[in-house]
Amino acid sequence: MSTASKNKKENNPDALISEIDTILNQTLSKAILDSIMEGVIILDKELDIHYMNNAAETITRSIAHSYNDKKIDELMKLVNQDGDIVSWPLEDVAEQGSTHNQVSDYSVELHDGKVFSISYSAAPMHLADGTIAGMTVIFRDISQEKELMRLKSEFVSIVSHQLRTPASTVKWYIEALLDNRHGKELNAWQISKLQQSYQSNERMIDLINDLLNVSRLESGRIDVHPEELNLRVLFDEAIKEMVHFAKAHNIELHNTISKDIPLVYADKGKIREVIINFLSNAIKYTKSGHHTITIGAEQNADAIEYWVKDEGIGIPSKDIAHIFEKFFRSDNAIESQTEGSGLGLYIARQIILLHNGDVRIESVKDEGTTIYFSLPFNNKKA
Amino acid sequence: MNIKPQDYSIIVVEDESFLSKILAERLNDEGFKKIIVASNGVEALQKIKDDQPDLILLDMILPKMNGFEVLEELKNDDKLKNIPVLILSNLGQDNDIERAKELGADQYIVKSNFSMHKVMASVTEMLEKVAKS
Repeated sequence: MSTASKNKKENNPDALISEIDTILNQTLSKAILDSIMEGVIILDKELDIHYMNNAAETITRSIAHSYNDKKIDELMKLVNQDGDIVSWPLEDVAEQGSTHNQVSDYSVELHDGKVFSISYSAAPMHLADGTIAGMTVIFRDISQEKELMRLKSEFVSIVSHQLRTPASTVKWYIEALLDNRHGKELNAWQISKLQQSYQSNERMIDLINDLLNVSRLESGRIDVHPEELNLRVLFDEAIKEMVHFAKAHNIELHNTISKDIPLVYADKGKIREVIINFLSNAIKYTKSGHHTITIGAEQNADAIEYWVKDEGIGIPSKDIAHIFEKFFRSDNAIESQTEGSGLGLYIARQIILLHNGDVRIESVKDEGTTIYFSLPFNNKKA
Repeated sequence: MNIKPQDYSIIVVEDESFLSKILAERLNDEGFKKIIVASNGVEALQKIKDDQPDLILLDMILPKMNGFEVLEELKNDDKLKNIPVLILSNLGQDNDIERAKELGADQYIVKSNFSMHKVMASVTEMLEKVAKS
């Protein structure tokens, strides 16, 4: 189709709507849409409803066709996590052809007052000439899934707290024995076995803490307390804390972040946790020898990207896509017999996402890994 | 240590007998001779009223009356509200820590995450503050 014809169509909403209706009037399309268990709604670019499948009518408790030509907001009011009613954020789908995949940050309120959590995806409907005619919104009620998730998290939380008590007892008694507070000297074999027991107990405590963190993150029960932060200083503090661990592996930690790097607005404790995780991984997965771990940062248009670059064992390319998944550990990490639960990177990424940032990783097996994370920077002066 | 430990009394409120025992033993090793032990919230509150210790080590998950309730009662009592409270708990969520601090706890230690050395350092630090005030 010629550009002139395409422009003509874009400037004529009635022609677009007519095309949508033509597609929908095809019996096969309707049969397919009505057999889907998820709600399917077809909207034009003005977000007026043109079609709802059977599931959409059931989920929204609406009478067939009663919402035709009405706005999606009239069918389902979108409620954000603060409980405020907001507009459906679908303009970018209509204008730029963006897609939204499984967005689960909202609830909806129906005409009869019923409120439930939803997950929705939205995608543009392109005509043969590429014109955006409207969009499909596919959604489902996820209230039960969220409740199950909450119950699971509560269970993990209670169990983890209960596990901490015997772990504390073991920790403090072994410390007392190693401090040799009560008489007889321990021999080298006894000390070595107690130290190993202590390390194992510490590993268990770390795992309990990681599980608790995952449970909190997944149930949305984690609070972020942002403040103005200088990550160059935060990295320096973390390096100081980890310098003995690094020295034991004959590894140098080198912070190259410029003094002029802007401050970011973030939760100090949580970002510190992320930094410690990245540095600890960089050290753990670098074979002993004279190696350097470099820390750097670069300012982009609206965020600062930080990185931690090591000269370690790297990650096989097939594993990179899975590295932020829960409990995932790459084959060479397991082969290296380095201790780890596979939760650290998952937690770190979730924390960065909570700050509207992002994490990515570049790695070459046997050459090293660079982990990048970005945080939106804050223009406020300290 | 800038204080004479034998001059100070400490109450350990802990329902887990092993932890209570090791805390009391270690405090004794550090030179504290007046150590009171309570294993539930009601008993703790009574002993704190009777003995008015210089420092309270308080667990949060306790039978009969939990640590938050004990804290609330303490801070509503003019005679007891100034006794410093060190929370030693395995509840470690942000909202638990915030709530305890809002109720007047001076320090909060998640037991499994801290060594006994750190606990003793906090005890000493808090009593040094008492000595200065």
